Amino acid sequence: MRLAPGIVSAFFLCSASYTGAAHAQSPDSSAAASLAQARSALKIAKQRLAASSASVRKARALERKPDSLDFDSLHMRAAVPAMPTMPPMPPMPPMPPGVPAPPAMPAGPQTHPQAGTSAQRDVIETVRKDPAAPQLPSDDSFGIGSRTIAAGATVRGPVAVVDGTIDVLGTIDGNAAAINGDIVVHQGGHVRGDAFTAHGKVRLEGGTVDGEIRSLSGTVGVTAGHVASHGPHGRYATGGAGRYSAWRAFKLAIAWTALCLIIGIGVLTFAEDPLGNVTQALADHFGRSLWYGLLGQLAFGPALLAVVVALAITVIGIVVAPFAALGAVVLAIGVIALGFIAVAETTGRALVRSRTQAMLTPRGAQLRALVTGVSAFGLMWVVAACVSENSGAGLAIRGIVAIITIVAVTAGVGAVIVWRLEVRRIARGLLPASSPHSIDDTSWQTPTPVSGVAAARRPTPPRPPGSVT
Amino acid sequence: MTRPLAITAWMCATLIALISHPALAQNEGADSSKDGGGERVLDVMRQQHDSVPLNVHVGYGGGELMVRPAPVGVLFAAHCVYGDESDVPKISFDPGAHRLNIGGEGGNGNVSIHMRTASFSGSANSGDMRLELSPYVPLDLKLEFGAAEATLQLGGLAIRQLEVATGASSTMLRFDSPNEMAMQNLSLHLGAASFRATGLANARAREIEVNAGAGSADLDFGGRWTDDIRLDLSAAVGAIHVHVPADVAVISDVKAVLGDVDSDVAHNPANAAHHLAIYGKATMGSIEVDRSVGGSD
Repeated sequence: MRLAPGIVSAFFLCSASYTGAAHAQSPDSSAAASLAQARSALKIAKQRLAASSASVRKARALERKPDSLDFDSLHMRAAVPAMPTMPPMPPMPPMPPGVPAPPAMPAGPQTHPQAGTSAQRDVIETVRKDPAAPQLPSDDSFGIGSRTIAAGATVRGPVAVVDGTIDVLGTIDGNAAAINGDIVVHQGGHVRGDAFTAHGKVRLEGGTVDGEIRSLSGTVGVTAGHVASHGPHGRYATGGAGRYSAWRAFKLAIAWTALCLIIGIGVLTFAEDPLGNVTQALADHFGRSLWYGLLGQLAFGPALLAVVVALAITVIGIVVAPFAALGAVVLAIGVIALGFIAVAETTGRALVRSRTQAMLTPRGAQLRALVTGVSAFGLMWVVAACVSENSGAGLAIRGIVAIITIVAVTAGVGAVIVWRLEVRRIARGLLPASSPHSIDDTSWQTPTPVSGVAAARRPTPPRPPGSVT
Repeated sequence: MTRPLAITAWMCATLIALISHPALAQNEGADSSKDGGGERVLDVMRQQHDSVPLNVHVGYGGGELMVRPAPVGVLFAAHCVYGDESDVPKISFDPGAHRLNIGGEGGNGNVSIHMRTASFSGSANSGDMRLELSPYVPLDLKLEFGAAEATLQLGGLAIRQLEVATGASSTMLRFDSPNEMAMQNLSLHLGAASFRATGLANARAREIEVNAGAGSADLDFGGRWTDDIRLDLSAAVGAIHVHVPADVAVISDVKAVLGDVDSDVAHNPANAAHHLAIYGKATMGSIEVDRSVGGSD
């Protein structure tokens, strides 16, 4: 079975030889031009016969690895198969005298991939998936083996072959494509469209190609970076900026989850009180936090710009402006991180059963809630990464997860703003410190020794000498 | 730990983590490229059918780039070698507008080649490209590089306008032979780049504009002088070194704002056939002019 493509190719190459020989033996002297063309076709067909074994080797290798083809290495790996035996030539039909020679016809085979092997269809499909490949004609348009466009003949394009070469002596009114073969545009040959080869060359030997000449070699097929960017027909659909890999997204989700856990534990360790206050503000004023967060995010850019412009007015401000901008960005990152960690902790508290929480110390319960909440958000992204290759459902899930995350971050940022506003209002006396909506102000203030001052010893009169205690 | 110290430590830790995280992702990309597929080669060319001016825009992210004249009968030919993880070079030609655009999205040139990497980081996923352009059609060239190592052999071409913008690249611009036509404009916008130009007189540009960001530019005005040249320099933080032939008179009006200007061309030749007028300012960089042309005729 594996020799089938080679045998098929050899059969048609022999047919091409026969066609050329038939024309060569034509006694009609008026067909001198056709005789010359037939001889040329015979010569080309013999060359293609010698090349057919290479086609067999490629086809075998392609059956093993249809999605990524390294043609050069295929040449190195494949064993040289025995040449298929040529079928005997049928007897020549006598040519009636006085009948002009037939017009130059394509000397190549006219078969379609349906008659070829699945390996050849895989080759076409593999090339079709290469992002650098142009729009290829349908599989039905591909012929197997070499094809010659005779001088003087005009063939409507596209002309496409696999495992063969296109020799253009006439005109192709359209595109030409050759996979595992060359396109040779001889003197007088004309391709009015584009010429494309995969693992082959477009050779201009005096001919003309009006359109683009494009060749792919080396590894051909879909690239690793564009696996998920192909449309239903395997065409390159998105630019480099839109490339997406499920495995890469999975690793990013894991990495971000780990990063958030590290940041969260750091916040819990070094800024426990602010975290507690923000969590409290989030629990008490979720709606207000969401709106404040939205306003804060929208206002950040213009506010930063205004500050930088205001600083740039003065000479000293020009020097200070970059540091101010950097400080604002650092502050924004800190607010976002604090807010998100607070949201994650709140989410974790909701997810973990209160009975088991009650068995832990307050800090242990806080840590458990934090880990649970961050893991929940990370898990959403991991799930989104795993299903993202299914274009419709994947995109929908990714969109939902992204919206949830954006809402969480917005609410977290808003909770930080709410907390700070509450602190300011308490400091100005606008809000009583005992208000149910107040935030524990002592958590934000600089710690002071509140455990009391050592009492002074009360002076007592000296005891008289000789007294007994 | 006191509250301000804790807040500061937490913010710094957050910032460091966020900054280092993309690097982690970048390494992931680089690692996957190692065990990715093999080398890919793309050749694209067009035959020259007329002499209509060609507008060429090349946007090149990282890797090696060479631009040079094409053989007879070829309008342009691009030979690209890239890896499995790289962005596929996009080479598009608009026959109507006679525009070639090489590279990624958004090129407005006629011929454009973009080989921008996914991460814009340069070498890890970069490729190599050789671009040949016809010397028989007027060219409007716009070349933009990221972290590329570029060799531009533009001598012998017919360039009407040339604009080169570099990022953190190492660029060599050569005019070994005269431009086939007078160049209307030559602009060099250099980022944190190492840039060297030789045979600039062969460019046949009456006005040359050089903006050096944080890189170093070495401008050699060797070659065949056919006209006077006006050179506008701006050295923000970078250093510009101008080499002038001994037989060319120099008119220098370069100001140092916070930078440094050093001119070693006080004595002009008596019967100088051509003049180089240098204008500009060294904001925080340096501009140096001397008569040490290496490749003058």
